[in-house]
Amino acid sequence: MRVVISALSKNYGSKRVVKDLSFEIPEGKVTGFLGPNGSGKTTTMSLMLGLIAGNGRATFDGSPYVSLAQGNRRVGAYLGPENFNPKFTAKQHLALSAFARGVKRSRVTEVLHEVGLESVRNTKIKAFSTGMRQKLGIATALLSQPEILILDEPANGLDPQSVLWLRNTLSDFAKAGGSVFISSHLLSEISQFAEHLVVMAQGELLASEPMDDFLARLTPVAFKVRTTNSEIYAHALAAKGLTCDRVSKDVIEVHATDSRELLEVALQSNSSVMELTPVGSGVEDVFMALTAGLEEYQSGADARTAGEMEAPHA
Amino acid sequence: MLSAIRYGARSVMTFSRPWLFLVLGAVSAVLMVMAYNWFAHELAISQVPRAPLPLTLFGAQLQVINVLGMMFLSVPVAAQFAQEYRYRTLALAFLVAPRRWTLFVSKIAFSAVYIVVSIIVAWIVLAIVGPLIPNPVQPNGGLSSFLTALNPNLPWAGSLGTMWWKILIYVLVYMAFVVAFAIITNSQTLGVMIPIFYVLIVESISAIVDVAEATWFPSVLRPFMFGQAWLTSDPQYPFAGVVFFGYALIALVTAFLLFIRRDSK
Repeated sequence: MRVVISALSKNYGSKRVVKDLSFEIPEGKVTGFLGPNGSGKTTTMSLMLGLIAGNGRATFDGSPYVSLAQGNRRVGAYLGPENFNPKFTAKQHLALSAFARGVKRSRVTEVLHEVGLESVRNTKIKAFSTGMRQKLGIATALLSQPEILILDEPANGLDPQSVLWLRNTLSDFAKAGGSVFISSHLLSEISQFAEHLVVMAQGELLASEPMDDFLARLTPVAFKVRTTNSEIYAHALAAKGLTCDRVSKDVIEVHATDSRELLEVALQSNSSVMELTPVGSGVEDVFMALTAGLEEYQSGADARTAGEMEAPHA
Repeated sequence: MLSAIRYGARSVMTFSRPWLFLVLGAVSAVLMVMAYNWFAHELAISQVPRAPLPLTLFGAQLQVINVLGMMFLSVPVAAQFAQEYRYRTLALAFLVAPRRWTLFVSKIAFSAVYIVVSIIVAWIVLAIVGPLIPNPVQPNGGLSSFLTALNPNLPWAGSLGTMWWKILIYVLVYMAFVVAFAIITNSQTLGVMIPIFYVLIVESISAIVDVAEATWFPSVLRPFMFGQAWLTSDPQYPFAGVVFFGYALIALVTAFLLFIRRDSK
């Protein structure tokens, strides 16, 4: 399903919380939607689904969600753990969603099993933890076997096993041809399975590009190198004019921007390189540099760090 | 549209235990009719001067709509909309039925079906239990009910056949006010209480003041008074229905526009 966002905007009073946002969600891929707290991610998702009124357009295969044929089956969305009737049981909630969408009743049992909530299917939602609510929300989104999943911070409150399950489920969903649009502030988590990133801050789009292009925005400032013979390797690096710091017995951090040079030195000094990791060019680093100073609710420490960050390549 | 119909049908059955309110409402209404007539009977045989007359059929029906409609049916009907706001489930509802007007119409339609079924159940209970009342409900004659405290000579100018459908319509229109206030205020409690408060307090006080001051409170600001006049086919207010239905329509359209346009997340 082709999802195109064009000039999406939203004002709350005089405050513009989403500003002319335009991007496209690639088909059959996991797209991470990143932004600091209060950057407008949830508002953007709500605008896309017609839950709130604003300007601009969000189209799913050419139609807005509200007029998309069988939209409630083709799009699976989940926008937060607070949107449940606490008096319902998990099964009642899913049964209502399934019945209204015209989905087979047997899917309720299937998704409950899929998300691991089968044993609490008859428990009222008010007794659910945040993690259980998240799973129920994901189950609701998966119910109609949609073409696209739109998930707002679904990993919040999940235990590590459930986060792994979520990652695998969404990756499998994308491999099967579905699209995933997932917002998160867990950057390391998103970086493990997202292939495309959309980044916004203070309501504005900062980036919409493949993960590789995003990572290429920032040149690494150093590399962590694990070698069999770090002493000899450090001397060889010094001979080439490169400085390094020892991290542990086998690991040194070399201040360089080109990894090929480090491999050449290793070859010349007969040192086997077992690990070579760039420092300062991960998703988190690029994100921090990109959104430096643009956090809506910035702590004192954040403000200091933001000032020290180097701006990424445009 | 089908999704909205399904959602409306299922939600009317799942929010706020509607069958419990139906049973409680029907039983309470019938018990009140029985209690009233029992007291009337006891006072009559004790030869108390001016002992109240037993309820007429119309009086009994008014008890049914007052107790069942105002006190009990209002709760699940207001819950159809207000609980969606209260638990922030409206976003989920709109994901299921993205065309909001279809959801509005569906919820209203199924609430109406629920109200009609409830009233008919109450009538059936009244018909079954009625003969057991010591001082049975009278098919005709002057009206005497606890409403007489407000309006001792409430006339009934219509035919018996008219009474049935007018009572049904009256309750449905009353519920339109309940739904409208539930949506406008986002609150189940206010949706239920504002119409009751308006009928029992504002209109009653204004009626008393109106009599004393003649023009202090324009009678046009008393929609439920006009509703009652329409219900009883009062010849003094030939356009009572227009005013009553007009108010309900304005309230419902306002609520509809808010339901359609209000952000939900």
